[in-house]
Parts: sequence; C-alpha cells; structure tokens
Amino acid sequence: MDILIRRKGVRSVPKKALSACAVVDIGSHAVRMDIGTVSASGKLTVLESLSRPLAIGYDVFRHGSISSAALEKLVHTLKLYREKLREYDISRPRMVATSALREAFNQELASDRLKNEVDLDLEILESTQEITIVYLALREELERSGLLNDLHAIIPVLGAGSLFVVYVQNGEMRFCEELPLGSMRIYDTFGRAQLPPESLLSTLKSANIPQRLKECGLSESSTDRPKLILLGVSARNMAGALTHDAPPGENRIVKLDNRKLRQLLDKLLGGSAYTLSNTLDITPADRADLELGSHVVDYFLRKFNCSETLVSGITTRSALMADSFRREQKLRHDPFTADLISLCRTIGRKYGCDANHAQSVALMADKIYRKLKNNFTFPPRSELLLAAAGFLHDIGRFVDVRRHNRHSAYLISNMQLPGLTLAEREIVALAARYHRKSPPRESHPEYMLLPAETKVAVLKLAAILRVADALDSGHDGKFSHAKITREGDTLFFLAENDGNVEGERFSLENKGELFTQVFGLKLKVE
Amino acid sequence: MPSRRISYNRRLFFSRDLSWLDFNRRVLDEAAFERNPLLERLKFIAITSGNLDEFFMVRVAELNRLAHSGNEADPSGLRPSEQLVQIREKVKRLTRMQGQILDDLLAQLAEKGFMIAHIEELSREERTLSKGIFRNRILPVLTPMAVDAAHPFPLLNSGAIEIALWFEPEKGKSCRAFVEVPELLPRFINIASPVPGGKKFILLEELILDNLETLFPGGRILEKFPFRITRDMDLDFDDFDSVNLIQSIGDRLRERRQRDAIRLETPSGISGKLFKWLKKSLRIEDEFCYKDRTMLHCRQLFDLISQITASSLLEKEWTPAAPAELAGFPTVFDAIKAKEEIFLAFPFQSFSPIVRLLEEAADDPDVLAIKQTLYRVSGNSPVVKALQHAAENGKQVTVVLELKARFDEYNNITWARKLDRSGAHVVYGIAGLKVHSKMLMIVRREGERLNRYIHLGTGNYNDKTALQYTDCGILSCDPTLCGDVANLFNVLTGISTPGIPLALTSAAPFNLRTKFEALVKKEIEHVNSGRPGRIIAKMNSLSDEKMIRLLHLAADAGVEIDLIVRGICCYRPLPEQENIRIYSIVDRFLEHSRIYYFGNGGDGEYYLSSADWMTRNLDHRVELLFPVQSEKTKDHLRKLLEFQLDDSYKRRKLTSSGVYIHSKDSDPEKRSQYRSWCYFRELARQELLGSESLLKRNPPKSDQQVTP
Repeated sequence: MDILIRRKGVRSVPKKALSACAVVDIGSHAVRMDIGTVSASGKLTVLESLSRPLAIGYDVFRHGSISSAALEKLVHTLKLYREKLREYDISRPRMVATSALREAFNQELASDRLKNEVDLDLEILESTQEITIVYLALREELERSGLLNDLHAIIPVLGAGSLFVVYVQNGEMRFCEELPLGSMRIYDTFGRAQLPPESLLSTLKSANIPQRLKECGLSESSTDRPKLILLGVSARNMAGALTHDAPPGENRIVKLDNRKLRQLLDKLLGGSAYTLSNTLDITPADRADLELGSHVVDYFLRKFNCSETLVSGITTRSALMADSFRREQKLRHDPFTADLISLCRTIGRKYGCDANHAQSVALMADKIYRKLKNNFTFPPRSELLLAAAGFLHDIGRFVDVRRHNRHSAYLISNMQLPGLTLAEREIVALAARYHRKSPPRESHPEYMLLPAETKVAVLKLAAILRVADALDSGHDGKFSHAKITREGDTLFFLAENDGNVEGERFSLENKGELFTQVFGLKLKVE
Repeated sequence: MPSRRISYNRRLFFSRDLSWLDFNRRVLDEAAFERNPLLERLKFIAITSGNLDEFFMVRVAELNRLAHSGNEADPSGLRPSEQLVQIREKVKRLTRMQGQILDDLLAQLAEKGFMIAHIEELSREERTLSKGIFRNRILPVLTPMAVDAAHPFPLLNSGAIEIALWFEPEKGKSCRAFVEVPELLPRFINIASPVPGGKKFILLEELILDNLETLFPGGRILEKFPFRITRDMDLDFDDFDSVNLIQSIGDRLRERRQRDAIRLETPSGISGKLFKWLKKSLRIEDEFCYKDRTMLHCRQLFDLISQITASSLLEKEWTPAAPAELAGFPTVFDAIKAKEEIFLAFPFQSFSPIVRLLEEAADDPDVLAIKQTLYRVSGNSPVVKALQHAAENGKQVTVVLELKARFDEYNNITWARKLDRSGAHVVYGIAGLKVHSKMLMIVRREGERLNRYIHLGTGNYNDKTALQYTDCGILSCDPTLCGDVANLFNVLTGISTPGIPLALTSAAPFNLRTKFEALVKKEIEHVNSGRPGRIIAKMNSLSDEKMIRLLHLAADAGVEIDLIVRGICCYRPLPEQENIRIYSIVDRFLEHSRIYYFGNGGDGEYYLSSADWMTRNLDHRVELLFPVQSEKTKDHLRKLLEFQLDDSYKRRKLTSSGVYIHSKDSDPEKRSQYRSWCYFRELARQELLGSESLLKRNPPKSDQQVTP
C-alpha cells in the first residue's frame, strides 16, 4: 500500500475514548477553555465552555509583545481554569496559543511564567498547524455527514488574527493560505487609520484569490460550482440568526438558505450589525467579527457564485480536542497525508513540474523508507516529510534549471504548507536542496545551524530522495513498480520490465554515495 | 401593530403596590373564610400581618424615597405620592378588617377553651400568678431606657413592640423612657387552664405594662402605651464591592438599624403628649401613624398557634408523597440515569430526594464535584450539612450563595462562613445582581465517562419552605441541559464571562427577556397565520411593563391566555379582552412555582423558571428558564395547570376593575392544591402497588383541553 492509497490515518490499536480532556485556547481577544469527552467513534461532547476576555491581540498586533498587565491577567485566568480542571480530575490539559501570542516577541516569557506559576505547558501553534487541525476536524465532520466525497468547496476561516482561505476539490485540499485579515487586527489597524471596515475588501482583492484558485484548478465556467463552507464565530452567529436557534455546536453542520443569507448580509452590510448583535445577545468582540465576517462572506459568495452555504460549528478548541483524540489513537499514518500530497501536486503543477516524475520519486522514496524504517531511526512523520519532498523537489526548475535544487529549497522554505511545522518544512526544504549536487557542507549555513538530530534527519531523507530521484532519472517511471530487497549490506532495486536501466544505474552511482554513508548500505540496480 | 389604546397607561396597568395590597387582602380573605379550620384562619392573620410589615419595610420605604426624588408616575399613571395616599387608605381598611376577623376568631377560640384575657379580666389568683411570672421570668431580661439630658433618644428596633412611658419621680424632673418587649420571650403567656385541655393567655406587653412600677419605683407613671415602629429596611446592594461583599453586607445590616422609621403603630385612642413627643422624636408624619383597634404585631400569632395543641382546629396534614419515579432504585443517580428526567413537585412530593442526592454525592467516591446555588436556606439545613460533608470528603464543592436574599442576610453569612471552613468554595455571585436561579449540579465519573446530574427548580433549596411553598423542578442528566447549567455556573463563579451560548435554557439578565418575548410573539404569529395561539403562565407576580404591553398585544391579537398570578398583577384585563383570564390562588400552601406553557401551534412547550415576569427578575437578577423535555413531566405539568384552572374553591378571577372575585359555584372537590396532592399520592401508591401508572390508565388531555 503506497502513500497515494493510504489516504486516511490507519489505526494501529482499537479506538479508545477520551474520558475527559481539556483544551485551553489563548486567542487574540479571549482565553477559552473547553472540557469534553470524545467517544470511541470520535464524537466530541463538550461538557463545559469557558471564556474570559483578554485582548492580547491588541497588545501584540500593535506593539509586537504581550504587555505585563495582560500577562498578569492571563496567569490569573489560567489559575482559575486550573481550579476548574480539578472538578473533572484533569491534570494535564492541552494549552495552545494562536495568532496573538504566536506573533508576540516575548512569547517565551509568557510560556515560562505559565509553566512556573500555573504548571501548564504552553504549545504555541503555528498558523499552518492551526489550520491543519481545524481542517482535519472539519473533514471528519464532513465525512460523518456524507459530504466529503468529491467535495468542491471554498472554506474561509475568519479568526481574530487571521483569515485562512482553503480550497478543496474532489475532497482534497488544493490551496490554503493565511491572510493577515483577522477581525481584531483589521479593526485595530483600520480603526487607527480611520478606515471603514469595507476597506477590508481592497485588502482581500489584493490577495487575488480568484486567480490563485484558478491556478489550483477552479474553473470559472464549470457547472460544478463550489460550496461555501464557513467556520468561525461570525459564521456561527449568522447561522444562529438565520435559523432562529442557538449557533451550531461542535458536531453540527448547518445548511443556510442562500437567499436568506443574502438578505441577512444586505442587512449587516447596511450597518445593522449592532442591532442584530443585540438580538443575538453577543459580545462586542463577536460583533466586530460579525461585521467583518459579513464582508468576507459577501465577497466569497459574489466572487465564486457558490452553490450552497454550509456553516460548521467547529471551533479551534473542538478541533484541538479532536486532534488530541487522534494523537491518543496512535495512528499508523498521518491523516493529513492525502491532503498534503494534493497540495504538493497543485504546487508542482503551478511551478510546471513533471507530475509523473514527482510522483515516481515520492513513491520510490516511500518504498525505500518502508524498507528501512524497522532497522533505522527516523524523525517523526518521516513518511509525510518524504512525500512532500518527493513531490516538491523539482519546483525550483520554475526559477532556473541550473541549481534548481537550491531554488526548490528556497520556495519550500517560504511557502505556506499546512500539515507541516516550520521545523518540518525546513527539513523538507533541505531534503529537496540536497536531492542532487553537493551533499551538506560546512559552508552551508542553513544546514550547519540546525540542531544535531535535525541534521541527521535531513541527511537520511536527502539520501533516500537522491536514490529515488536517481531511479527515475529518465522521467519514464521504469522503477515505478520496482521491488526492493535487502541482502546483507546491499539494497537491490529490481525493475519490473526488462529494459535498459543503464542511465539509472549511472545516476545512482553518482547520487548514491550519501545513502551508503548514512545507512551503510550499498545500492544495486538489476 | 400596537393598538392605539396602548398609550393609555391607566387602562392597561394596575399599580404594583396597590396590587400587592390586594394580594394581602386575598390572604386575609382566607382568614375570613369560614370553611377553613380555626387555627388555619389565625395563621392567615399572622401571614397578612407579616406581609404588611415587609411591605412597609421595603415598598413603602422605596415609594417614600421616590416621592421625594422626582415623584415620577408608574405605568399605571400614579405618582409615588399618590400611591402612598391610596396605600394608606387600603392599609387602614385592611387592618380594620383584620381586627374584626381577629376578634371573631379569638371569640371562637375562647369557645373552644383557648382565650386571650386582658390583665383586668384575670382573677385575683391569676393576677398574683402573673406577677410571679413577671418577677421570675420577665423582669430579669428587661432593660428600661430613659431619655433625658444624659441619655439621648435610644435606637429602637424595627418590628419589636416597645413600651413608651412618661415617668415622674418623687424628686427631680419627669422623663420619658422605653422598655422593649423582648422577642425572645413568648408573646402569649399561658396563665391558666379555664377548662380541661384549654388555656388562658395574657399578652406579654400587657403583663409588662401592669408591672411597670417594679421597673420605675418611687414615682408616678403619667402616661404609658405600647407601640411598634417599622423602619426602612431595603438595602441597595448595587454599589457593593463584590470582593468584600460579606463585610459590606455585615456593615450595611448594622446600619439598617438606624434607618428612618416608616410606620408607627399604636393601639387606638393614643393621642396624648407622650405620643406627640414620640412622633416628633421619630420624625414621623401623621400619614405614617396607624392606630389599630387590634393587637400589635399579629405575626406573633404563630406563637399562639404553636401553644394550642388541638389538631381538630388545624387542617389535616398532607404528608408529601414519595416520588414514584425514584421507587425501586438504589440511588437517586440510578433513577435519574434510568428515567433521564424526573419531575418533583413540592410540597405534594417530598423534598428528601434532593437531600438524598446530596448525601449520596457526598459519600460517593466517584463524585468529583458538586455545585449549587443557595438563596434562602433553613436553619440547620440538611442541604448545607450535606455540602459541608462533601467538601470534607474532598469533593470540589462550589456554592453560589446569595447573601443579599432580603431579611435572610445574617442567616446566609453564617452559612457562608461554615461552608467556607469545611473547604467548600463559596462564591457570592455577581456584583449588583442577586442570584435567584435554583440549580444543583453533580459531576460523577462513571467508568470512562464523566456524567453530570442536575436539579433545576423554581424554589429555594430549603427543606422547611419545601413543606409550605408549591415549587417544582426536574432532576436530569441530559448532556445539553447539563452543559448549559455548567456554563451558567462558570459565569456565576466568575470563571467565565457571559457570552457562551446557552443551548436549551435562557438566563437573566442575559437573554431571558428576549426569550420570553420571542415565545409570546410566536403565539401572536400563530394567531396571525390562522393557527390557535395559547399561553398559560403561572407565576408569583406580573409587573414588568414591557411584558404586560406584549401580553396586551397578544390578547388583542386573539391569543388564548390564562395567567395564574398569585401576588402582584399589574395587567389590567380590558372588558373586551375575553380571551385573557387572570386568576390568583391563595391556599394553605404558598403558590410559588413558575410554569410557562406556550401552545406553539399545537406542539406545546413547557418551561419552568425561577423568574416571574417582573423587571427585577428579567433584568436585575440571575434567573433561569429551562424547558421540560420528557413527555411524562409535561403530563404532570399539564395536570397541575389543569387543576389550577379548574379550581372553583380557592381561585379568584381578576376583573378589569381590579377586584378579585370568587367562583360562583365554589366546589371543595375542585380545590387545586388538594387535587395536586391526591394526584402525586396516587402516583406513589400506584408505584407501590406495582400496577399500571395512573397516567397510563387516565391518559392526559390534549393541550387544547387544558383550556377551561
């Protein structure tokens, strides 16, 4: 079973329910905590939701750091939450910080104080991690609702710090980008510049999303119009207003009537957010979200002529709880693999890569990894990293064929790639960097500055990638179905068809040295 | 669309405080109701008197303040000064009537062998005996307080009977003095048994008056009379610092003793110099002086009733039934889990399941946390004891204690300290808002799951009042309902801020008003769309202006409305509004449950709440409205409402003139409280017999049939 078939996480053990877990989300304008349980089938039940306002975002988006006063309040709030957790006998909640603290230059100080004074470990989520976790929770929910297969959707996720735009085609992620257009950031920036909220539109326009989604396969003339799936507090409040009900909870997806949504948006854009917010009984922060959210929803509805609008009740906290549940299940394969491959393919296509070659390399790298993984230590999630490196190793050719490995590394380092952390992306970039030409040298600062274990990880992945690339040096997939066997200290690659493999043998001789150095194995092609 | 007449306030509203006096009049009517047993009638006199005291302490004091600061008219168009004039007239009529009824009752009681005699009516032996009682039991606790150049006017306690006297010593200047009649001593002193099994009582103040010379020897008493003052006792807690709430309340209570007198009561015929001096010293105007023909402080008749051991003069006891749905389960937890929702109606059913649940939780090793709101708890409360026990057993006990429950502040401070010492986390609610919601939640680990159990009710967790007030509530383990309650507790304990949406419930002061308004408006929409609209609302008081206006709109639109309002009702039913009926039931139990039914186009919705339709409940208190989900509970509520709407014995109907009228065909068989008690007793009996339930044999009527 190759990585293209292993699309979903496969469990190595039967599913086990999470009897009680807690997630603390330190956001831009509030510190929230959910306490819940997850059944063996993955159904999440939130037992309690707590929220205390704390506008860390104002400090960070304006001054770049969290103020002392806000830090004191944060510590105080978490002490209260700590007490609360005793009621449920929960000793180790998962505590994460999102956009605000992520951007604070003194985040380490906050982390240290929370550790010392509240005895809680702070996990500062990178933006790509955040959207991956939210997306995976949404995907599970869509799957449960029977909506995931062949899903074609645009998913804007409006938070206080950022706006994420996700595009999904055939049930797989094709595009994901974080725009610095969160409601609090926009209100603060626009407020100081005395710009009306509509100015958001020009910023949104400048992101040129329609063109970029077109590059990812969205067809303007297609009869398959995308659905619009909305997440975030503003979307939930819109759903509440339209259904005259409480906003959808964590396990619900609500379909909105587009005509009624249009009327609601017209009202909101006409300046009645304040009146509506009174009816809905929402906080001022949520009102700001609602106002900006209406602009965002209006933009996407108009621009993409979406066929229908769905609102999911998933929150960052419920998504984190689902993520904690997945972690507990010890999945054999990463559940984001299929989407990451889909994203990498889209990126490869965008940069004019040979898609077949990229796939051959990725598949071969995966095969080699599986052959070795029981005898050698690998960094966590090597399967995913190798897949990404395999699909993206040649994108630098778009810049220049010469030294394209260096260009690939640069592009990978600087792109938004959900599913991978910053450190992981760096490993992927360096694996691509060393898929050809010189192996790491002392004169390469980006390699030399890495911690020792990361250097080894880069070497192992790069060594595998070089071999995989060499075996498809003719870009003709001769080794696509090759068998790999190991005899003593030699790894044999047996091409399925009798053909001329001299080119590949020659290439392997050139590029296989690093592999032999790293794994102590010789390579032979037959 | 609002109709034009909505602007005519006087046509739509009754004055709140005059309506309250009408309620007290209905209570007094029960004292006059000859079919009530004699001592029960006496109890109603005591209740009327106690009610009136509180009315003066709170409402008259407030109106007096308003009259001096703006004097703005209420929705009925009456200014506070005008209301005070009308109140005085009504109070005078009420006390006159109370005196007449009391005379009659005391005469009847004397016929039964229980008499209250005046000192001068005692025989010589009895007089001698009374002097001995005075010397041995009363004199040691009396403290005369002189008023002269060296002794300023003393701080007289609100509500206590005092004796004023003008004393002329043999030498020196005459002076005035006071003697407080100690409330710790029995007001009614049993002096003899005129007939076997009977008793003769004398009033404590009369005995003291008769022996004043013992206290003031060697002189002459020129004037003497008993009197009673009522002070403005309304506390404004809005500006309290929540951090030091307990300290602030303690301080304010001490300060309350010094507040202005708002009523001076004396026996009739008192008008001499001493009275004038007293009035002047208390700075009290004539319109706040009441000279009653009857005895002072009739609330203390409860003391008399407790000394009369004649069960034939009391109504038979209605023993609370054991809740049928709990039968056969080893623990209350098991019963809730099996039944999902269990309805409890006090005092028709026993309060013990609540205490049992708490006691089981306190000893259950799987219980992690208990949270409860407490508003008024009884002395020696088993609820508090169980909470203390749980805290001592290491459970996370959180109690949201409302210190500001009027006239219970001292009691609550005592409990707060006790709970705190046992390790419970005692929280005093939200600054500026009284926590009036009645909620209990228990978190319990059951295998891999964490389950929560709740009780939500309309009445306080008070084992004593649960025998006297009709209240109802549910035990449930519904996760969504539990989630709402948990979120609300987090807001009350300050750990979370309002804004977390409530899925099933609504809470004041957040979204309760909008919810009620939406429910009423929905009924109007149903009518406008050609479907029947139906509202049955049972509450203690209806005085919120917006709700009343909305109800007028609903009535005008054609919604069928039945309001069962025990106390204040400011809604004035217009003669042309034939589709709205307003009732009040005053009976042996104080009607206290808040039940709201909305027809919802045929799919009826039942709600229970801690809130009345009063502005203070909807905007200035923490209140809860929760839906009833189980069909069985709905059946019980349907029955209760049906009994009330069908009551022709204790139910009065409010007319547009503001008069409450009894049903013409009064039928004791239709007494709703008795039928409710029989209903729950029968359910318990059926459960014991193990036969089919009453409900199965007598399927409840449909929603529309509830309409009388």
